Amino acid sequence: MGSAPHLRRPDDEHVRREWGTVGENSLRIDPEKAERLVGAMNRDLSGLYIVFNQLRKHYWTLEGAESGEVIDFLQDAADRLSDATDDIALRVHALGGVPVNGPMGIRQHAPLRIEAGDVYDIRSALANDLNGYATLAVSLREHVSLATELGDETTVELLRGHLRTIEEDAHTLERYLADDSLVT
Amino acid sequence: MSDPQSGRLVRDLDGATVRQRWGTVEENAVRLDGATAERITEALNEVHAGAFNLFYLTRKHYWAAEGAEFDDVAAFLKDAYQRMRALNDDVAVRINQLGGVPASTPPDIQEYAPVHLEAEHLYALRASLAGDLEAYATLAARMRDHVSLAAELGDEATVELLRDRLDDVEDDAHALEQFLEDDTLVRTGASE
Repeated sequence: MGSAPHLRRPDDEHVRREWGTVGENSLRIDPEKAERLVGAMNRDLSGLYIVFNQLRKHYWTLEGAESGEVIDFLQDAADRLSDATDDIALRVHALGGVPVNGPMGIRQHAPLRIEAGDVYDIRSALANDLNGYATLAVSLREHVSLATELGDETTVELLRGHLRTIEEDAHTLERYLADDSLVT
Repeated sequence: MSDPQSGRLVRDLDGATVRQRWGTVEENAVRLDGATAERITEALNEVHAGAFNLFYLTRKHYWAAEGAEFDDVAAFLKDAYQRMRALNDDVAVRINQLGGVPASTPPDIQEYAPVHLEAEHLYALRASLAGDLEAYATLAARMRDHVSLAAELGDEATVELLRDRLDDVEDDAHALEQFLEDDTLVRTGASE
């Protein structure tokens, strides 16, 4: 996996946690359980990275009569995904893991593909955003169940809160797509 | 759909109409001529991609900050990454206004970025912040170059945007420098 020669690599003596490992946590969560939770949440983090940057691409480039309103929504929605990302990454860290933080981790855990660099029509772009949200929602729902089964109530609560927000934003996107005036 | 974890991670969006290809510069509404817009969008894509990476670097260090001073440092990094995202967004929007396309896929961003991401391990706070400081200095130097370029080409709005954001970048670089000068961060043996 020696993919990226352009990565900055501080000396090994400065490594505190190796990528892909889960060390001890001070929350007295059994290490084996912590490892499963970290793996699950890293999948969420990879998906959040992809959808967050997809929304950003869209609000940078969208055009058309309805784009102002849609851009405002996408900016706010991206903020909410960013909050979810921080909370989940901090939880992964608290559980002794290394949160997904670069191209290798994103690929390893990717639940979605990344849109090519071209600018697409607004309907297709938003439909792809909705697809991204649906994927995130499924993943979070599965991980709420997993955390419940493993007895990690804090993670359950954290993921549930963000799942609700993600479902609301998915619904908003659905309504934009149902709007006649976007269909030309 | 095939598993995204194998094969190409970046791919064309099925069924979509391409409005503009990545790498092209179309006519703009701000009346800058084609050759000028092309040079400025190239230059701005470097700032954009550098800011994109620096946003992720500072954010990673915010997530992972540990040690006695972590609270102050984490609070600073959280604010800093948000400023970097705002800079990144503003520059991307300016590229679009000029008729260009901001880089959005990881390979394109890595190609343009003067600032590199860090390997995916978590590193000691001091080594992390030292890398961030270097990245800020690199981005600031690139922005200064492009202020000159935009001034030379008569794109005053880009000059103003870059100058304004350069102030923030320099302030944050200075704050990082001060953290690194702090004695308590350098105590021998405390960081490993």
